[in-house]
Amino acid sequence: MKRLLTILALSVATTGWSQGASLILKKSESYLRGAQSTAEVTITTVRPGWQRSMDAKLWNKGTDKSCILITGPKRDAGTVFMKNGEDIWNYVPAIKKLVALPAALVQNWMGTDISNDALINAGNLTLDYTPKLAGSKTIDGEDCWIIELTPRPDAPVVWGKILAYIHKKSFVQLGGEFYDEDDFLITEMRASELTNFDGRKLPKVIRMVPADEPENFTEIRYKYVDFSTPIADSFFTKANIKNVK
Amino acid sequence: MLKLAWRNIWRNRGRSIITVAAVMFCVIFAVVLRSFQVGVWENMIHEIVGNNFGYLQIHEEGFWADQSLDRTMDLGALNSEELLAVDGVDRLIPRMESFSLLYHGSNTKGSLVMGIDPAVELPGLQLDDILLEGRSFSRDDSVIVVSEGLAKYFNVGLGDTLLFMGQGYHGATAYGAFPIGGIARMTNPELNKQLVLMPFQKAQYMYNCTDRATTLVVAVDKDSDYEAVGAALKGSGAEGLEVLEWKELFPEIIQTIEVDMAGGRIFVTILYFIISFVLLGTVIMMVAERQREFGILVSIGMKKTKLAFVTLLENIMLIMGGAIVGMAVVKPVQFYFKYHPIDLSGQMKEAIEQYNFEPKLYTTTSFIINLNHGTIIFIIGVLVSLYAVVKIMKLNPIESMRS
Repeated sequence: MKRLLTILALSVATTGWSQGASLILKKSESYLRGAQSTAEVTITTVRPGWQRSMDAKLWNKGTDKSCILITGPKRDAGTVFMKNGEDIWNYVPAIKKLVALPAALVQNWMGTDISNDALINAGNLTLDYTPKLAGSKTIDGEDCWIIELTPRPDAPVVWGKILAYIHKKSFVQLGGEFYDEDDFLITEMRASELTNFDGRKLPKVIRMVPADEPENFTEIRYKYVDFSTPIADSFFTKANIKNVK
Repeated sequence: MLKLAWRNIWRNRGRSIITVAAVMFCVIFAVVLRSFQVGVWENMIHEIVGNNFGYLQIHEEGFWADQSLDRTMDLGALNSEELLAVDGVDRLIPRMESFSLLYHGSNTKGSLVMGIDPAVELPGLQLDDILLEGRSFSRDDSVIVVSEGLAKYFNVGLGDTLLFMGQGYHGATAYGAFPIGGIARMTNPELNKQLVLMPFQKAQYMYNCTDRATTLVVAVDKDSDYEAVGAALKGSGAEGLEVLEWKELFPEIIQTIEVDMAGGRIFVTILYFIISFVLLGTVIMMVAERQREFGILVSIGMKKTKLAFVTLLENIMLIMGGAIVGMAVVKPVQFYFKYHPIDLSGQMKEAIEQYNFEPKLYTTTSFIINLNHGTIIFIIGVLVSLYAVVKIMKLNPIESMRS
């Protein structure tokens, strides 16, 4: 009887915790995403003795529509990555070609330390992963929840486990760790410089560091984020991909 | 005594001619066989290695091992004057070599992209010589030249545009669209299936390697030995760079050559065995025919040693004559097939093309082969002649005269 009670108590506790985790994550994501957002960033990839910067413009709407346009350097300018629901397209102006990309791309995006997956599914983790509260952690003096995410059985994802550190006060994600199927740490994410963007406090800088080469990293630096300008649904269509500006 | 031997030779012309002919044909066969074998390799190395890849290449340290564009050379930081100052270096040929996925319509194919500057390239990449149709390009032109096999695969011609998708320096995207300006036939069948030649600067731009190169091919002065030049380059200001000889670049070629050469040696050894017994046959015949003569000579007072010496001299003269004639006769044959190689056809051709060799049989004109095989056969001849010497030393004049 005692044992049964323990099991009962434990299961209630886990479901309760799991719901809590899900709530935290959803809150965090919707806070980050808003109804829609437009942003401009500079993405800098650093290697020992070498670095490269790219300018990009980002659009987001809802949980399943996003778009990235490379605006510089000239060599790559005009390249577009677009996600609408299950479809992911890449338009390359140099060859005037539209390429459909698979949902789970293992490689990194354009030679950076950002995985294609992280970029395309950013802010949309609740769909493919089951969250679980795994404790608390202090990052840069801020108290954070640790949310452990495990992929749902059929989810088209590349990670075996993700740990997300979510600021308890503001629900901003301040860090993350990405693990492969064998539980090896692949990439670490750190967010810093909380800044007021269009009324929301968000990290200005997000840095991705590959675990096996700690001297390498990629930094995404936000120039602005605009949550108020509405974006039409038709923006995120294949037909529009060549006109994205 | 020499005179005596000389006269003996002409006493029985038939026998002498047989001996000379046996030696001669043996030399001819052995030399022709080896000439073809060595010649095919010589030609292959010259054509494929010497004229396409170069005998010496310089890369950024470690490039050849992992072939990553991250290990390209910074041409701006390169001390090319110091490299050019090395004795025997004629010029340095920069190349931008990598892979790319090619698209045309719904067809795709992996290909090798070589960004070159035809103005300074090696003979094998002199576009004017290898173009089947179309035109050449300059280093910053905007058309490409594709190999015959690729053009056939995509079913494209001049003016059609091929799309390139690949990865450039530090993971940058390497996309490009280039119209075909020419179609070329490469001597190396493997390259002929997948090579794309691109203006050097366009390749640099596409791979995001502006002012960089994967490879510097060292063109060696005509009369210089590349091995010496390579050693000198390694010792010069090549810091952070690797200087590789073709043997280090393509060790598989050396291995293939070694296996093939071993096979050839076995064949020639078998030939030598046959020849040894043919020669032994003529010597035995000679001793048997001259039993009576030898008996008389010994009984009228000629010393056995002297007689044996004269006989040996006879044989040496015959064999040497045969070897020299053989070496000489084969010379024009070698020259003929060097410039008029045997063109293989049918199955043989396909089999050889699979190994990426040109399906043509060349000969070498190197005289060392003639000399080697002439000498080997001469030594065999002399050893075999010792049979006659032994026979004479054991000679019993009475018995031999009776026979």
